[in-house]
Amino acid sequence: MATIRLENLYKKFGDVHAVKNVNLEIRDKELLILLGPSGCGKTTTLRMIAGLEVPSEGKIYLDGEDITYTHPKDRKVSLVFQSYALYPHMTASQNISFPLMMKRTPRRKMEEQVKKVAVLLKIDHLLRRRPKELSGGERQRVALGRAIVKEPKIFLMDEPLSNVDAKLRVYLRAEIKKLQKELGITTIYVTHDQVEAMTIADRIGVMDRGELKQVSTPEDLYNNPQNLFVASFIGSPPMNLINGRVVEDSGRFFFDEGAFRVEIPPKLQKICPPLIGEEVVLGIRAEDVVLNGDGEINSALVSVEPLGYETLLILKAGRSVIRAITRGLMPLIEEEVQLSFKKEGIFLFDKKTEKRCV
Amino acid sequence: MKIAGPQRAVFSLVITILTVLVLIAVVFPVFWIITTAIRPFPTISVPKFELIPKNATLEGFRWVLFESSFFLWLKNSLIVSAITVTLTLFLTILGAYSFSRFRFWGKESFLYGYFIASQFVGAFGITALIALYAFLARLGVINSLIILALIYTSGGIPFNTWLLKTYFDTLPKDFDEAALMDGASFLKVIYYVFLPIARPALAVVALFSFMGSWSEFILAQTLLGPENYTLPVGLWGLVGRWETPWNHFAAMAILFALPIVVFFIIAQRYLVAGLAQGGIKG
Repeated sequence: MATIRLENLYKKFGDVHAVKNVNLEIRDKELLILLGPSGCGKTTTLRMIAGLEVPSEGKIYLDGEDITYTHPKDRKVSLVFQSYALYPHMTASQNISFPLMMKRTPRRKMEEQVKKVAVLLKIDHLLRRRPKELSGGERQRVALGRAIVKEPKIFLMDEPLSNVDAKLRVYLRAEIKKLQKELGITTIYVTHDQVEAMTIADRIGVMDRGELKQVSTPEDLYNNPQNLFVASFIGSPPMNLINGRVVEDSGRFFFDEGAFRVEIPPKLQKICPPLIGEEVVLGIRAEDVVLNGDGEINSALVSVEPLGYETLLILKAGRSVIRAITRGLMPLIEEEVQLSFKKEGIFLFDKKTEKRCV
Repeated sequence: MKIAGPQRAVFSLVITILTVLVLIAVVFPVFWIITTAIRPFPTISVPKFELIPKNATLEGFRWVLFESSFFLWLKNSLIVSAITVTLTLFLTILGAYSFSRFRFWGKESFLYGYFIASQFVGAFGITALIALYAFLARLGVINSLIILALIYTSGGIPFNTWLLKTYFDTLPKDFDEAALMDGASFLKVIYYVFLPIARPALAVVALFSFMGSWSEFILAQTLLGPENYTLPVGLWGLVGRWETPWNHFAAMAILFALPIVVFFIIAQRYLVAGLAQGGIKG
């Protein structure tokens, strides 16, 4: 059993707020991913959990025990570094056994444990090599081995796949997920790659400018973004975000971009009265944009990006750029295209608070 | 720069000639001192150039090894140098790690002070010779090999700390943090991670402090009595007021220089760069 709770966590570096009021609970055996652009505070949060940074404010609990000021070595936490941080003068075997050596484990037991971990990670034939004689993927496994051999309660991973090539990354992320489920160790994993996050996470915490914006399952983040940042960050291509105002016309509410109007779907109608005249952002995913002859929005095709199975169209309507995904109809560049939005795909966000209107 | 055709040949010739000239300038004193050491008479110069002197003999070496106090001075020199090298390594490693990794009050000022000290501490030792002598005499610790080694150590620390700190700065912090996470204390981080990786820099520090203490003359000559003479002082003692047995002097000078060569050969094995390669990616 291992749960982590972060309570009102802050970290300041001089005048810079790296982490602002983060509250988060990581459940037992869960793989939680902290996702966000560089500089969003995800690595700092991870380092505070590891004990490599001391929080400016707030508390960190491991299984209900306050570990905010506990020395890293006493936390029962393992960290896999982005750079691997393998000791260059030691062999793979010595690297893996280093944490055991620090605990004065008897030699025989140490060898047994290293062997066990090496077999698990399929690196038992590499144990005598030094890091410079290993490939990127092999180094990553040795680094994982060093983290596993400690039998930690919590696994922390700081962008562990950012240094391996794209093909290997796809393979290794599946391996990491499988390994995490096999070992059943609560894991916090930091990445800026939303595809990586979406594919392996049980839950994702999206961070921006030091704040935790939303924590949820990958599907829920995609289908129910609670704010503009999550809406724009999750999904590829990102959600279309169109600036406009809410207007009322003969008892019905519309989103008015200036050049075109879209009727606000019935489920959102009830929240509209206080928004009349207010600046809002309409969000619609590319797959919810429909190209048809009788659409209510006139747009011009700007560019076409074939993705193989489907094609991404970039269109301009009024002041807004709209991305649409299509598999059939293929208009010509600069040709006029009629669009409409699927009603169930429409989101409204308050432009000032950046929060979703519900 | 790319040079072609005949120009290239001329360029290459000039380089070769310059190299040979430099080589002669470097090797000639060594050759001179060796030929002087194996001459049967105590003269430093001879009217004509000879590659191997006539009636070459090892008499000079025999005299140094069996009739002079060479082994006493050698023992004293070894004691002073061993203490100096050990202490210098110990203190500079701790100092350099602290300067490289910790934030503490006055760090910048201390570093600046070390820098200033590294620039003139050798000269300061000489100019303050009388004050130093008086001070040590008052304390009653004159004529002590250990005190001499401590003075050498303190003189070498500023420069060597800077040297090692600069090297430690190039080692990624991930190494320290990984080791801390793995359960190491700061001292264990230094011992198990930094020292093996920093062997090239440590070899340089050891070499510098050994050479400095091995060949220092003025302080040793001022502070030590005859029973504690180190090799440079002993060697200087051979220079007579009216005449100097140059063959003995040369033989002893060769034996005096030998440990430095040996030390350099040992240290050279560790002066291999690129050890830090491979552990860190990115």
